[in-house]
Amino acid sequence: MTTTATPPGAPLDSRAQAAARARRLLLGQHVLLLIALILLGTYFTSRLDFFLTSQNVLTILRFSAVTFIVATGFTLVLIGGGLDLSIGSGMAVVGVTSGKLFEAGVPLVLAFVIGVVVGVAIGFVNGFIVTQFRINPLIATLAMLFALLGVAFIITDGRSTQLRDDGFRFARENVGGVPVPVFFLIATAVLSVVLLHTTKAGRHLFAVGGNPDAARQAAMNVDRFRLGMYTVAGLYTGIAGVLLASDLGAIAPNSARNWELYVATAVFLGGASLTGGRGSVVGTFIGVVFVSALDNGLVQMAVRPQIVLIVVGTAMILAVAFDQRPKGGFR
Amino acid sequence: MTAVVPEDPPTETSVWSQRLRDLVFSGKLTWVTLGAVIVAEFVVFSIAAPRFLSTTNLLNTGRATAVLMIVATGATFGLISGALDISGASVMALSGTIGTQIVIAGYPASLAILAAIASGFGAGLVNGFVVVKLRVNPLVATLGMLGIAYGLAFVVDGGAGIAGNLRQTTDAAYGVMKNDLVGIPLPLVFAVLFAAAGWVLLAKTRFGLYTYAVGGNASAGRSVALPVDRLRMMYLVFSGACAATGGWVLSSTLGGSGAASVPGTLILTVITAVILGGVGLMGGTGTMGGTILGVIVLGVLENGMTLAGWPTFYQYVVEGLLLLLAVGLEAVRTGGYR
Amino acid sequence: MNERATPNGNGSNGAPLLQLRGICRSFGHVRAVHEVDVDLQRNEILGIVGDNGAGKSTLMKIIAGTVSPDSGQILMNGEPVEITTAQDSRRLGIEMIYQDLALFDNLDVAANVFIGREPTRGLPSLLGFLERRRMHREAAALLQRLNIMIGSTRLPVGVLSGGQRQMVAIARAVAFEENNHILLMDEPSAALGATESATVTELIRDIRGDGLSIMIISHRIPEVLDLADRVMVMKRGEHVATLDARSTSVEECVNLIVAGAPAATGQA
Repeated sequence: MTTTATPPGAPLDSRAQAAARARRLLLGQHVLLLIALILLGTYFTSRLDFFLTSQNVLTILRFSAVTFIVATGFTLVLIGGGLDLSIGSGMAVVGVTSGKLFEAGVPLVLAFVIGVVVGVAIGFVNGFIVTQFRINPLIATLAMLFALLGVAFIITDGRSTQLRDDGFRFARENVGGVPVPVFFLIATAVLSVVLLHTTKAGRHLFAVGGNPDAARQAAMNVDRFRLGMYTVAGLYTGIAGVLLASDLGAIAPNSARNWELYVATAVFLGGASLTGGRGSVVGTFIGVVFVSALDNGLVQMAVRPQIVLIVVGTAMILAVAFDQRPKGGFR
Repeated sequence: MTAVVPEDPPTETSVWSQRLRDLVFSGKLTWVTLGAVIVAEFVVFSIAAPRFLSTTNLLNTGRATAVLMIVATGATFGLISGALDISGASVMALSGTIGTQIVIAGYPASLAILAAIASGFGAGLVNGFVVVKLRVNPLVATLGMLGIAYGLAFVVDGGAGIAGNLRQTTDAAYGVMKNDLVGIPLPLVFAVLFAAAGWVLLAKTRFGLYTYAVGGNASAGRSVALPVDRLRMMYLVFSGACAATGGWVLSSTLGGSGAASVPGTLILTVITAVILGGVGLMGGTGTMGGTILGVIVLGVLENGMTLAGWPTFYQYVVEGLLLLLAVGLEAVRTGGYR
Repeated sequence: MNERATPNGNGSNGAPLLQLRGICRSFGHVRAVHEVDVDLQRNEILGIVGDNGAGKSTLMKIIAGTVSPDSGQILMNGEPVEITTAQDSRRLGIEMIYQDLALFDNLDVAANVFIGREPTRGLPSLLGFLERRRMHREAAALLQRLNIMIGSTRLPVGVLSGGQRQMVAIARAVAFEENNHILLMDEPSAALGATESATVTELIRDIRGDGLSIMIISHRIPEVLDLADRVMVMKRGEHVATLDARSTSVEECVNLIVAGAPAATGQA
């Protein structure tokens, strides 16, 4: 019963081990999900001839970008043993803030940066409440979900408005044929992989999430890890929030409602766990692409979007059920 | 361990601080706090909005809060047994939609009501199956059900609610909750009876005791031969059935509802009410009395802020802060999340 | 009651109260319990000792019905019985006190004593109304009969000390005493200090009475030799030897635990 987590600062891997680890990192547990993605793609391609065109793939990626960026923050928080339900509301606050600023004549770059800073602040507050007031993250971020939703409505006075100036809609632009959000996706992915798998802090995060008591005994400052991971997640919420607002070209306080279901589905499909200590950027990426492709394909097959909800909900339950099988699951 | 012997002769301050500490640690603090909050709400709102204290308005508040009370009753059992059921709002939507469509299709209201509530049983059974058989964490299981039930509700009403052309029903039996009973709104009467039944069930029966046992220590439950899995299933079914009942009551009050008639944030309000009332997130603690007070706090808040001319969205902020305050106090008492 | 009763060996039909025959259980490649035979006589205290992983707890869980054996037979009074669930063993009068005690910290003492067997009236089974007053009255009487010092049966078990918790668990196990009652105890004193451990030992001695037979796992060999009539030594899932507690010594037990064979005694 006293299985301890991997000791901190585990001995450096030999080259062969590193290669094996890299392979495991990239594919490993995601093989099944990849096969599912390929089957899904094959099915949609057989029903819709344009599904695999570069045009449509880029569309899927563009839709994936915002989801992936928040989902990566969500993954980090889950790995560290936390939970963040406030992502949708956080994105709303960020989006309306930068939208309002831009509308008031603030240059685009500055509006973007301030939006991201607001996101970082939100993440920091989440982490502060969880670590300083010792409030369970589920409740802390549920309360933040409410409070932030309220703030977003207060900023906009409860109204959604379309921005007249198209200059804000950079997320709709292409650079070299590739949608702008895809660049953000790549940057986020690279940053996260580096943070999580090459730095000591990133690797310790798995220990903190998997077994906080053991991590404390190993003299890790669990609270600082938690504060850090919520803040990084806030950074991602900030980027995603501005991108979403830019994509919509609107100041819309309820733009990111129910976002949580899609994000959670993608992240759980990608192998992260509610009990902490597990999850990966690659898994989350495949999970996000899977959900976006599902959404894209079903909608293009003229399936009503509500049915997509049913499919997504079922997919999430099955993913978690399947994933937990060998470990015994919830008792 | 609780016997703290004061070393100094009890001076005025030490007596008070001791009393305060006892209060904080006795768990009665939740009740006292909520009582104080309700009193404060009454004072503030009766000053800010003179109409607030009128009988009509108080009855209106009761009518508007009834649904919250019914759904919160189920959520209380779910959460004490260790299952946070977040599928409530979409189960409500599904139930109301099914009831409405059946009665519009010309079947008797009794059948429609039965089918509406049965949909909650069904959702609860599926949740229970996923938790007990597939061993999925209840939070995830019910998050999945949230999507599924919402989607099904849209399928049943064909998206009519969103398009703004949902057909209402004039069926008197289905819309019975529009009526008053000796001047008191029927939903309020129903909710009071419902909450009372929930209180008896939780505090007085074996079913209630086992809620605490399963939520407090499921593995001990297995050791002493309690049918833990079957019980978990029952609490989730009960939670689903309460949500569906709430969905029907809402639908009946509105004279028919669709998938879009239930705001998605409603379940968050339900959870806030239950947790405000002192139900611990980890299961095994809480009372129906606390939940009832939590529901009153939020119901009065909503009505009072609206009357005082505050836009609805300020309520979200206040609700969030209240939730943090409630859980913060709980964290002080128990040492909190580590 | 306090003096040690001698095992009277055979029951009415001449067979031991509980017999295990050829019990095997593996977890993956690990043979947790292998071809184990055990006899438990009426009124006997049987100690089970062995190193970590010797299969003691698994053996007990098999009797308690929470682990099912791969093969083998269980007999009570010479009759084969089927124990596949915890309910089965409870019905046969077998009670187990787990190492983790299986108490509900959030419930009061009375509810913990009665859990699963609450007296109710009115509606049947789950919807029956709890007779709380009767539960408290009977729980208090039980604690008094067993000389257990706990302030009130209304205290939640979570606030009790380790020794008090252990005693609540014991009280629960003997509360519904019947004929042929068997009590299984897994490390009753493992988590206790010296004083508390002595109190619990005293209680175990007290409760052994007519028809109550006890199997007890412990790491504290002197304590086992003091309490038990016979001591069974297990090693790597096998039953190595059974010794008479009065004629054996701590050294002999330790040698058997370590070496697994009595021959090792000479070398030590």
